[in-house]
Amino acid sequence: MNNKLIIITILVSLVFITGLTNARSVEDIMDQVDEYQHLKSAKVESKMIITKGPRKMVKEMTSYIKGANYGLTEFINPRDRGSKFLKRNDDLWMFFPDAEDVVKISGHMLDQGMMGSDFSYQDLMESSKLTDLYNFKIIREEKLNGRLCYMIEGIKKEGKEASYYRRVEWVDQKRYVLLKEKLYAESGRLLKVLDTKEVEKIEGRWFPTYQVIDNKLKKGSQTEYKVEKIEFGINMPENTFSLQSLR
Amino acid sequence: MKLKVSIVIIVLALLSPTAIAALDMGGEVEIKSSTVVGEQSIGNFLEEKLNLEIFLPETKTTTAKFEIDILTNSQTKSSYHQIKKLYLEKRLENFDLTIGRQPISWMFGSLVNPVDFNLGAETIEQETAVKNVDAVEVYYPLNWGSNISGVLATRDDGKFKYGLRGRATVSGYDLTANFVKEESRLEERIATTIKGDLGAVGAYGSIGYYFEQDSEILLAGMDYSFYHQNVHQIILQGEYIYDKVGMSSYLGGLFTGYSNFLDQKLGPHLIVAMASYGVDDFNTVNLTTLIHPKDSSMLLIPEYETQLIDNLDLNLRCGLLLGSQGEVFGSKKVTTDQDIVDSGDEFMGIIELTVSYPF
Repeated sequence: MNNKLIIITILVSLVFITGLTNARSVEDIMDQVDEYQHLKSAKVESKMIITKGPRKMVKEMTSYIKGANYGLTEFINPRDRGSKFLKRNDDLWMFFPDAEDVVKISGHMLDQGMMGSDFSYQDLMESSKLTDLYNFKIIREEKLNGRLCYMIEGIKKEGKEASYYRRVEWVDQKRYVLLKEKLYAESGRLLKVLDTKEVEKIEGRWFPTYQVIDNKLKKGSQTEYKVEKIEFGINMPENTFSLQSLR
Repeated sequence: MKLKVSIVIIVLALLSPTAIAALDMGGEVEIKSSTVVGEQSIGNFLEEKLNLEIFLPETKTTTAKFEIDILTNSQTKSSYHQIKKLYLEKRLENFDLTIGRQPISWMFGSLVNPVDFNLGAETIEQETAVKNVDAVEVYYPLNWGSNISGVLATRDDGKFKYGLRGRATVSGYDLTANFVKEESRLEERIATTIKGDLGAVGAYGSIGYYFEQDSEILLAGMDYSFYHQNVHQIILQGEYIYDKVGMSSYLGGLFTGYSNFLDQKLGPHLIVAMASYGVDDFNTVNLTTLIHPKDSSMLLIPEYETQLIDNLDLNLRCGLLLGSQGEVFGSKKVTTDQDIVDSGDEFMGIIELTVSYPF
């Protein structure tokens, strides 16, 4: 009887301890993911390729990003060459290269696809910490493409503005990068699936450099996003995020 | 012209051989077919355009730009060119100085801008040639979102035109004030604009005043966008304009191929509305409507834009007059020999098909 009691006590304790460990570790895991993916200040040269059947649209851009609030992006592909966007908090400005003039863009455009892409201005021009926007919990461990992952669910924190209500992440257990993401609307509808195809160690941190986005609401189209070059922790002039530098 | 070519040569000569090796080119080839529809006859003409921009090497403080349009027109059987940009910009310690042929634009997000430095329906027509002038501009930043700029420009008749514009960002609102004056005093205008958000809707407006004509300008507009079925982006924008003086200046050349599209007797009132529907990543349908509130006549401009394979763009645009004869947007009797539709015929509308290739 005593032995049984001891075993039950040990098992209950183990379950309790495991639960605590999980609760702590999901924060540690996502903190580490944020540590690698959050851009305190960075210069990113990237390319977006949207394909639908034989048609292909390529958008190339150079972005300066400072945390969650500041972003400056210039398009360099022929069709959009010279178009620039400045984001400061919730304000968005656009530079029209033909007229060489700056216009304030209405706030409702912030959630819209940037220059016709699957990424919103917020997606591409800011770098919020996931842990600031979502409450996470571990669902289970799972192997993805031969790599052991934490499968983690994030639900948008109340009062926070996030592009998606729910997200399910596959976090590489060794490199702390998101190998796959499923993004959901509040209605439960699956909106997008992001597959990370390439991960590189840059300046000591693992970073996804090639992702394929499957927009579940668009039939037959696919978006690829490639980071061509990224520099972390760069020093930017004081007026980088100003109307003067947008001109 | 010789002077402008000389400036290009001087600019190039100032650059080192290494810098010249870094020169790059870009632009767009465009072929536009315009079909003018009369009641009895139909006419067609072609325009070809090569837009060429030479990307000159920049330094931290100096930028040089050169952009030219080379055009041919089957109706006038002529070829000509138009230098859009040829300027030097120097970023000095406290201000930026730009000298040469350059666009001077005072947009604030409206479909039609009645308080621009030079008036033109750039948003509807996408034609910004009217903005490009020989000028000196001084841009003085006050903080990240506020600045003052001054412009001294020469007009085609050699007379001067100058302007001042101040811009400030206050609590998320973009505020501007401007003053423009031509040497002949025909145009002496002061104006203010505002743009910001009212809840989920974008709102903007402008108030202006012509001194010589003792006449006011008023504009109020709103815009909104959303996704239909989470896929199709829909953008809606509409505005009301009151302007006795400038109306014909910025609507007279709505369609470049046919200058008599609208008569010059436009009243002071105008309503402009635009709806854009994103079919998918590659196809967009737009509808712009100009309504004259007094007689309810309408100019309808439906437009379809698509990106074809190999980076080719196709644009189909129509201008349809939906009004009775004598109304502002009613059919017009062709009184001169346009070589497009027969003289005496009634002009009903225009269809433009444009294929372009950016490179």
